[in-house]
Amino acid sequence: MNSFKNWLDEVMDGLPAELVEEIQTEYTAHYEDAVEDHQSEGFSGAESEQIALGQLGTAKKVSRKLKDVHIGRATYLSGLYASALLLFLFIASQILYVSLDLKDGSLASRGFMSSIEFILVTFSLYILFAMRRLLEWHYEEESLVPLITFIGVGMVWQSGAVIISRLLYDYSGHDEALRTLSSYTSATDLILLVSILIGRFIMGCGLVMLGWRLSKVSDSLYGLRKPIAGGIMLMGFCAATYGISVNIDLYAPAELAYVGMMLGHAIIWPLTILLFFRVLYRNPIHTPLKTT
Amino acid sequence: MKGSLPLLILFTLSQGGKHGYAIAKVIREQSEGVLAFTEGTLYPTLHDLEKRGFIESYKDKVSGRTRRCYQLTEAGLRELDVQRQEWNQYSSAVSSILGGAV
Repeated sequence: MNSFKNWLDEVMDGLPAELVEEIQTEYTAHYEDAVEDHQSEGFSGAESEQIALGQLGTAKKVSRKLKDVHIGRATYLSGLYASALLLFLFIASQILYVSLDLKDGSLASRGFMSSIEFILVTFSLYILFAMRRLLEWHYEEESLVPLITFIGVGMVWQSGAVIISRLLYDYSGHDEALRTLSSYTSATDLILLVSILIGRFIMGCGLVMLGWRLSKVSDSLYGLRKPIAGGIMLMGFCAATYGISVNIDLYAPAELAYVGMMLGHAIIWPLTILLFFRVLYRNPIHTPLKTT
Repeated sequence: MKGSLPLLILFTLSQGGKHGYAIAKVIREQSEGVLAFTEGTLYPTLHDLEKRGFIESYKDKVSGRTRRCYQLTEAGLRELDVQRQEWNQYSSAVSSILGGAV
């Protein structure tokens, strides 16, 4: 019974407090019924408890499934809204950037662009967080979690540096990321440029690795696995290429990589919306059966 | 056989309301022990079906103990038809290929 108590504690860990009692009661009744049945089949008390516990499965697996249903669904829904908003903001910011001629270098323009960058990165981080839960809890692809964290770190790093750089320096006519390292004007400027480069490189490599690993998962993600993996790899490759080519003064590949990044955005966000939607509103959750 | 558990649960509940352990037992016994699943994942599946409106839960006294039981809703009955049709299509397609190969 002690083993069952430990199993139950591990399963309940992290679940909303208001649900714990009811779910605990359900599992306890199930376990007690199973133990009684095994005893009536002739097994000893200890054997029956062991068999009943084995039939419940590992606490980690059950805990993930419960979190998927009771916490995950709300996260996936907000992930869906965040993806839709991000797509809208992304398009709107590109239109505003061109139509308002925000390259005049004024503090107002730079402040506006920094705010946009901050909003876009905040939404992107939230979608990454929702995607992390989806892959870990819904699809049981735990091995992808560290990669998502890695991408998040790269994203915060590069966007933080971009925002600070924009606010501190007037690079009229330039996107600050489109400057070679040799064009720095001060030590702080150099640190920021290097930070943008490193952050973009970390994020790019992380995205390529995530896309590659995602293309190998067993579930088809409602038929979206390949296009999502492709979009992520394209975006990652272009982000890394963009950073490097700018650094070594190769503007033509940088411009091409920039177009690739935009294309990546245009592919990924609609697909993310579709994936969250299908997870929420299509077939009930996947629970594998096996033949004995 | 991913995704088949919800279909089996819906079918089991179409024969009358049951608590979790009874559902697991029916699946095990009616498949003569051939179909097995991690029984701990039965409850997340039941809760998911309930959130989707396919089943509803109620409290009932079973063998002197208060148990949370589940029963099919109208939407669940329709979902059972849809899932059963999909399953029949799938299994008859596989059967016709295997039958053709023999």
